[in-house]
Amino acid sequence: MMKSDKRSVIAALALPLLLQLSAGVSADTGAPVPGVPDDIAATESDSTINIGEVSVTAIKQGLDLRLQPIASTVVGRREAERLGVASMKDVSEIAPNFYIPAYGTRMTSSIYVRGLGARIDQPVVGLNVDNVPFLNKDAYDFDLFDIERIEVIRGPQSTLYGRNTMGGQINIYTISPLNYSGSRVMATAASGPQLKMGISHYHKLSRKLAMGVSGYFNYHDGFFTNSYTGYKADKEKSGSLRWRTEWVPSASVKVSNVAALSLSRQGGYPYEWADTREVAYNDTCYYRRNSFSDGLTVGYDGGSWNLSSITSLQYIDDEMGLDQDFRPVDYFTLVQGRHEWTVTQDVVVRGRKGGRYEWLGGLFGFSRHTSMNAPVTFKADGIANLIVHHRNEFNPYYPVKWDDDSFVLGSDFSYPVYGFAAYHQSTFRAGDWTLSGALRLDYEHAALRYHSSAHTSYTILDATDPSSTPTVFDRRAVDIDDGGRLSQHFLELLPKLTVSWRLPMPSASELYFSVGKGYKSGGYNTQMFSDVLQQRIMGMMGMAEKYDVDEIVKYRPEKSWNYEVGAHITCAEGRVGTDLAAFLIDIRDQQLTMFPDGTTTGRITTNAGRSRSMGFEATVRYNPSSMWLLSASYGMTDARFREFWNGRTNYRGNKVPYAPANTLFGSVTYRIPVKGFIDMITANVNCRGVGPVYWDEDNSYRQPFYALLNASVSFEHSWWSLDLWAENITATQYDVFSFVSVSETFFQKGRPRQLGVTLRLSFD
Amino acid sequence: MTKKFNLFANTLLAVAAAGSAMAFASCGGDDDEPVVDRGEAVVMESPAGYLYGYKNKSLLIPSTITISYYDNVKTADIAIDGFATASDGASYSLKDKIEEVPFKLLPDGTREIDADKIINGQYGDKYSDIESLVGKLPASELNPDGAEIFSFALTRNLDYTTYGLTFIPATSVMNGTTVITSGAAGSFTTTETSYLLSIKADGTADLTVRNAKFAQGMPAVGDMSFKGLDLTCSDDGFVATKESLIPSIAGVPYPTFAISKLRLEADLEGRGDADLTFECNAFGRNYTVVASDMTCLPQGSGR
Repeated sequence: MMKSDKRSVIAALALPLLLQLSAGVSADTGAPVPGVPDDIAATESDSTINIGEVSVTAIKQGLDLRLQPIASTVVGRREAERLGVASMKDVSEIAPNFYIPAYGTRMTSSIYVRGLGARIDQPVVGLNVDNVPFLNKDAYDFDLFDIERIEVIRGPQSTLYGRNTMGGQINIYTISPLNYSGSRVMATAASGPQLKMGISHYHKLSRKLAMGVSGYFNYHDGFFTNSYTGYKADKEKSGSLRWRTEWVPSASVKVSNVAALSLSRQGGYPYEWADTREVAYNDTCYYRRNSFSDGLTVGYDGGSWNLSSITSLQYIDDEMGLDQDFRPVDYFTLVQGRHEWTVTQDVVVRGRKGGRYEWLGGLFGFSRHTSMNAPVTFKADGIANLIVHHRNEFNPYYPVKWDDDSFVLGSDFSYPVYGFAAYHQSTFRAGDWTLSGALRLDYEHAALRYHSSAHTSYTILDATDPSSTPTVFDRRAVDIDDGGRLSQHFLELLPKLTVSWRLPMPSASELYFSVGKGYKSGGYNTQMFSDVLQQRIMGMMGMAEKYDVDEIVKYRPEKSWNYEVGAHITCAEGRVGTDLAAFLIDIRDQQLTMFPDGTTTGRITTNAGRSRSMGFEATVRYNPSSMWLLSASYGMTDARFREFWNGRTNYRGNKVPYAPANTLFGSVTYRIPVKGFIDMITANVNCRGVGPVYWDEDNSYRQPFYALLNASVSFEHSWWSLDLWAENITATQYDVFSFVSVSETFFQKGRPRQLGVTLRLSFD
Repeated sequence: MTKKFNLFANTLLAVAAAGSAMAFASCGGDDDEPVVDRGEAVVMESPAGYLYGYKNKSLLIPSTITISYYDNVKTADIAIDGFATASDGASYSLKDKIEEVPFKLLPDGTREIDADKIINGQYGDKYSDIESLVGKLPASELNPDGAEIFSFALTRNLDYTTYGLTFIPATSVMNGTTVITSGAAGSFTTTETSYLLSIKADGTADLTVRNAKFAQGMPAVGDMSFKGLDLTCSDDGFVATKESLIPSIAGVPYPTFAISKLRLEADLEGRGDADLTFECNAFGRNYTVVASDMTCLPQGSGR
C-alpha cells in the first residue's frame, strides 16, 4: 500500500473514533429519555423493526415491511442462526426468485432477482448494511457476525433508493446496543475444515449512550483442490471488526454510528475445465481485500415532521490475481489492483405518520473514485496459440516468431463517478384504500481516464523456399501507448405508483398493485481494454477486428417497467402468514455479460435490445403451535429476450442466461422443551432448490433443477446453545456457474456436503 | 492672300473637328459599358492527379487544376498547371488559364461545367468541350477515405492540333457491392469492402482492398495491397489489369491469397463508376470476386 493510501486509511479510521469518543465524553448519565425504554427486548416478529432503532427501512418505508405494498422477505436473528446465514449470499433461495450463486471469490456477487441480474459492473440490487449503502457490487460479499435482521425487498426500489436497485434492495442490520446488552461468543468447527469465531460485547454506558463492539474470524481450508498444484484452490481467511455507537442526546435526536473494518484473503476461482472436470491451473489465483466503512445516521424529530441524515464513507483496497486460462498452460494472467473511495449523503424529511396524508422527500448525493491498475501478461502459450498460430495459419509462407517469451498489456484507469438525486413520495389514505405516488430525479456523471500500453516485438521469416532454412524477412516492433478520456452522463426520472386495499380480515392483510420504473446505471467495462490492445497488436500484423474504444467499453443504462400485484394475508390469529406476488417486467437495453467470440480474454458488457420477465412468488409461514414453525417459499420466473441481435445471432425468444426459472425453500422447525441441563431442543430440516439455469444466450446447455437438503439439531440452555448441523446432506452434485472463455468451457461446482458444530454463548 | 487664309482656316477647322471627334469618341468608349462585379470566388483545387492525353501521347502529366467559381455571374476561371519529364528526357508543360467558362450550381451543391463553345486560353490556345463536375464530400464515418467529386476533361487546340485532356486522379476511391462466389460454398455479398486505386506517374497502379472478406465468418484482415497493376488510360478513364499477383497485408506478401485475372475498369465522367473482377485462390479454394457499379471518386487532399 502506498504511503498516501496508508494516510488515507488512518484518516478514515480516525474520523469515527473521534466522533464516538466525543459522544462518550458528552454522554449524560441523568434522567431517562422519553421514547427509549430501559430495557428494549427484540420483538417476536422478525419483520418488525425495533422501536428506537434508526434504520433506513424505518425512515423510508415503515416499521413493518409486511404492512407495506412491496414483496419482501425478512430473516430475523434466530432464523439466521438456525439456517447458518452469515452473509447476503446465504439468503439465496430463502427469498423467492432471489438467487446469489456462490462462485469465484468474495469479489463475485452475481445477484439474480426475478430474471434481472448482473455478473460484472453494475448490480441490480442495492445493499445497505447498518444504513451504509454499498455502491460497489464487488464488495457485497462479506460475513457478518450478530446479524439482527436481513430484509430482501423485491421489485424496483429506484424511487427511494436510487440507482442500481431495479431488482430490489437488501438491508442488513446488526444487533443494536440499544436493544441488547451483554456479551456473545460463537465458535463453529466444520468439515473442510472450517473454523469460525465471533465475539461481541454490547453495553449501555448510560440511558442515552450505548456501544457495541464485535470481532469475527473465519478460516476455511477450501472445498476444491487444484489438481495441478495439489493445494486447495479456494482456501480463505477473513476477519472483521465492528464498532457501533447509539446515542440519544435528547428526546428528539438520535445518533447512530457504525464503523467496520473487514479483511479477506482467499484463493478462489475453482473453475473446472469441461474436458476434464478438474480444477487444474498453474498460475496463482487469489483475491485479497481490505475495506473500511463508516455510516453516521442522525435523526431529528421535529414533532409534525422528522429529518434523517445518513452519511457514509467507504474505502476499498483490493487485488485480484487470475490465471485467466484456468488451465495448466501459460496463456495469460491478470493482476488487478484497485483503490476506491465512496462518499454518500442522504437527507430524508418525513411528515408525521398515521394521518390521511403522509409524505416524505429527500436529497441524495454520492461521489466515487476508483483507481485501478490491471495489467494482463501474455505468456508463451498465449502468444503461440492466440497470436502466432492464427497469424501463421493465414500466412505460412511468411511466418512470424515472437521475440519475447511474454509481454504485458498494461492498463491503468481512473474512474470518477458522481451523482445527485431528489425524490418525493406522497401517500393518501381513504378508509381501506391507500394510494401512493413517488418520483425521483436522478443524475449521474461517469468518466474514465485510461492508459493502455504494450511494448514487444516479433520477427517475420521468409519460408517461401521449402528447400532452405527460413531467412529473416523483417523485424517489427510493437510500441503502443494509448490514452484517452471518455465520459457520459445520465438523467432519469423514476416514478412509482401503488394502490393497496386493506382486506376485511381480523389481522392486517392487504392487496396491492404497483407500477414502477427501475434503473441500472451505465458505465465502462474496463475488462475489455486487454482485448482492445490484443486486437491492436493483431491489426498491426494485418488481421484484426477494428474496435472503437468508446463503443466497445461503454455500456448504456438499463431500464425496466415493473408491474406487480400482490397480497399480504395474515390469518388464524396470526399463525398463518402468506405473501403472494405476480409480476411482469419489461426491460429495455438489458446489460448482458458476454465473452466475445474467438480468442479474447475480456468480458464485454453489452446492451441487449429488450427482455421480458414474468412470474410469481409465494411465501407461507405457519405456526400451528409454539413448538412448530413451517415456512416455504417458491418463485417462478420466465425471463426471455424479446429483441437481441449480437451481430451474428438472433436470440429472440431465448431464455435470459444465469437467471433461474425456479427457486424453492422449505423449512420445518420443531421445538421440544426439556427439563434439566438443557432447556430446549430445536430440530430443523430445510431444503433449498434452484433451476433450471441456462448458461448461455443460445440456451445450448444448462444446470437442471436441483435441491439441497440441510438439517440441524440445537441444544439450548439459557446462556449457551450447541448446534449440530449438516448442509447438502445428500451430497448433491451441481454446478453454480459456467462460462466460455478463449473457446473453452468452464464450470464451478456447488458446495459439497458439510457437517459442523456451532457453540454459542450469551451473557446478558 | 485670301486663298492662303482660307486654306489655313479650313485646315484649322479640320483639325478642330478631328480633335472634337476624338474627344467625343474617348468620352463615349469603354467607360460607358457597365462593370460587372463577379463577387468573391469559390476556389476548388483538384485532388492530386494527372492530365492524360497531351498531344495524343499517352502521358500522365502531374497537374493541378484550379477552378474559381463566381457564383454571382455563374462563370468560372480555370487554371491548369502541369509539368512532366518523360523517360526520353523531353519535358511537357501544361500551363494555361481559361476565363469566364459558364457553369451551373446544382441543388446538391456540386458545380457542373458543360461548355461546348470554343473559348480562348490566356496564351491564345482554344478550348472546347469543357466538362467538369466538382463538389466536396467531407471525410467522415461514411467517407473514411475522404473521397471528393472532381471530374474534368476538355479538348485543346494547340498549333492546329486538337487533342483531349482528361483528369485522372492519383487515388480513386471505389465503393459498392461486392459479390464473392465460390462453387459449393455459394455466394457472399458485402458492402463493407472498398477499393482504392493509386496511380503512379510511371503508368503503373496499386490497388488497396479495405475490409477484404471472401466468406461469412472469415476473420477480418487488414488492408490488402495489389501492387504493380498494368494501367491503360483513355479519354473516358482507365483500365487496370493483372494476370496474376501475390497480395500483401501490412507489408508482408500473402501467397495464401493468390490473385489472378484482375480487371478494373473506371469511367471518370461525372461521379464516375467502376467495375472490378478478380479471382482469389485462398487456402485451396477458388473465389470469384465481382464488384460492379461502384462509385469512383478521387481521394481528396483533405483526407
